[in-house]
Amino acid sequence: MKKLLMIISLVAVLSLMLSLAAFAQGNKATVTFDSDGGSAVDPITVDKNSKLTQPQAPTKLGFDFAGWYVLRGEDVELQEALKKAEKDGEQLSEKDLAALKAVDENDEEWSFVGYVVTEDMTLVAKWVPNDEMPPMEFKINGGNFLISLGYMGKGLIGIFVVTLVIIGVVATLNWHGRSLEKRNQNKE
Amino acid sequence: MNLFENVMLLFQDGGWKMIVMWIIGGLLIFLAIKKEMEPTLLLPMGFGAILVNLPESGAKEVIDHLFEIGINSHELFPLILFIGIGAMIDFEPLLTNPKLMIFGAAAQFGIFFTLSMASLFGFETNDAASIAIIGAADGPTSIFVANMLNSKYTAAIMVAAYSYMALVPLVQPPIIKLCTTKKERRIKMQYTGKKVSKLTKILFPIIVTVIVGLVAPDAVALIGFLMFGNLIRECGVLNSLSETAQKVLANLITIFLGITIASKMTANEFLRFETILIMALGLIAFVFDTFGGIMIAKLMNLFLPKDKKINPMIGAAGISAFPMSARVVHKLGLEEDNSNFLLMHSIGVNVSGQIASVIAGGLILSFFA
Repeated sequence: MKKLLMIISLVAVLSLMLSLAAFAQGNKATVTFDSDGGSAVDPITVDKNSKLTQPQAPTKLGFDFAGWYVLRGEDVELQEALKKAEKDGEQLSEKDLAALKAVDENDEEWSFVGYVVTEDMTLVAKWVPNDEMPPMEFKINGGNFLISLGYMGKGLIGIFVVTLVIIGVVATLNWHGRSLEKRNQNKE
Repeated sequence: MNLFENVMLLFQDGGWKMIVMWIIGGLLIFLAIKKEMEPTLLLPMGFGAILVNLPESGAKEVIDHLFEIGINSHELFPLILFIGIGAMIDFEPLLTNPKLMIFGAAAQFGIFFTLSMASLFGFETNDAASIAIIGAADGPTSIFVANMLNSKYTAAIMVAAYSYMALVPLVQPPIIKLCTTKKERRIKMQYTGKKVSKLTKILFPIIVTVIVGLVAPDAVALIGFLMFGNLIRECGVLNSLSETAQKVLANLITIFLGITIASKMTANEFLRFETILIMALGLIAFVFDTFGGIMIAKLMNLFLPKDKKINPMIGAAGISAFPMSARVVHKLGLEEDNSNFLLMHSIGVNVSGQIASVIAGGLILSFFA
């Protein structure tokens, strides 16, 4: 009997602890940060209905950080631009993409002062292009060199061919001019 | 607002770069005034470099707008300037002796050589091609091509192109002397001074436009505006327009061109290791242009009779830089023998270089645009 009571109380304590843990867990929410190509930002776990402390802003070369956003919109302009680029066989540059994402009015900037976290969520970084340029990848590129040598040959042949055509035309014009002159002289 | 807020910006992150740009701007102004190096371009560029590198500069927007309408959309400024340049050029020395054009073509060798070198150093093809076109030794063509190819380094390319054009009297003589013997430099050439018919002078700009347009359609705007200016000059019935194009129009555009290019001279874009590399590659382009022109003359001499030999120095005038390189060659000729007048030949080669550099620009565009 004593044994049974012990087992029952052990089970009761364990289930109490487990439900307490589950309750505590249910009271927390994890916020993950998607820096969209910028430096990584660690996720933060907070009590539900509490405010979020602003993490250190991520950085991305060539862009200024424009805040953390909750994505809600359909990115209509972005989708249209992507479709148009695909139709024209072009590729949108990283800067154009960022600029288009940054102007989507449906997205909502997260206010670290006013808003509270109610559930797990992801905040996405927005970026505004600036005029900083990423550094050139500096390497000796033998492959490109060989391709350029091909263009060098094509270019030199092209320029000489055009030049010879022009020389031919001018020489013909000169010859024509001289023969006209001679004819006039003969007439006189 | 704190009155000194802007001053404090200079001492924050990256503020020092702006001060470096003021020094570079000051240097360009100094070279323009004191050394008279391409003052029409270097002075506005120098002042513009200071103007756009003030913290929170209110002038940046205006100059950016000028860049947008004057260069970025359809390369308007360089093209209009080309009407003026076309009106200034007399093609007669070239028309009397059309084979001089061979030297103009050969002296574009530096462009293609530099394209290979820039690719070797890891520049992307559009940037490598834009850097190579410094070797066109012709400002408007460089601006046109670099902008059409959407290069990141437009400002550095412009500064290199105009600086080396101004430095032609310093850059070319050592290369010419290195590539020629004293005996070759003393070769005298007869100038026949044949007259060219008016019809030839009128048809030349039209026919060249059509030929170049068919081969390199991307450059037809450049050659077309150049030849349009020349047609105004040669037609004989538009003298006042020709005069306006040569003086008022060219001056007006030049005033805006320099300061507009300065919009690309912000510290972030200009103070980079690549700028130094571009300067070095620009020099390579000028050196190999000179080399190409001289070598083709030496090659032709192998097949010419003794009394018709060409002074290989005139090949060097095939780099566009008009009329500096023609004068350099003439002066070197006189240095060796004070009765050796090469000016008419070198001017002929020089104007053919002007045409050839545009054709080379067109070919580069047809490859990479």
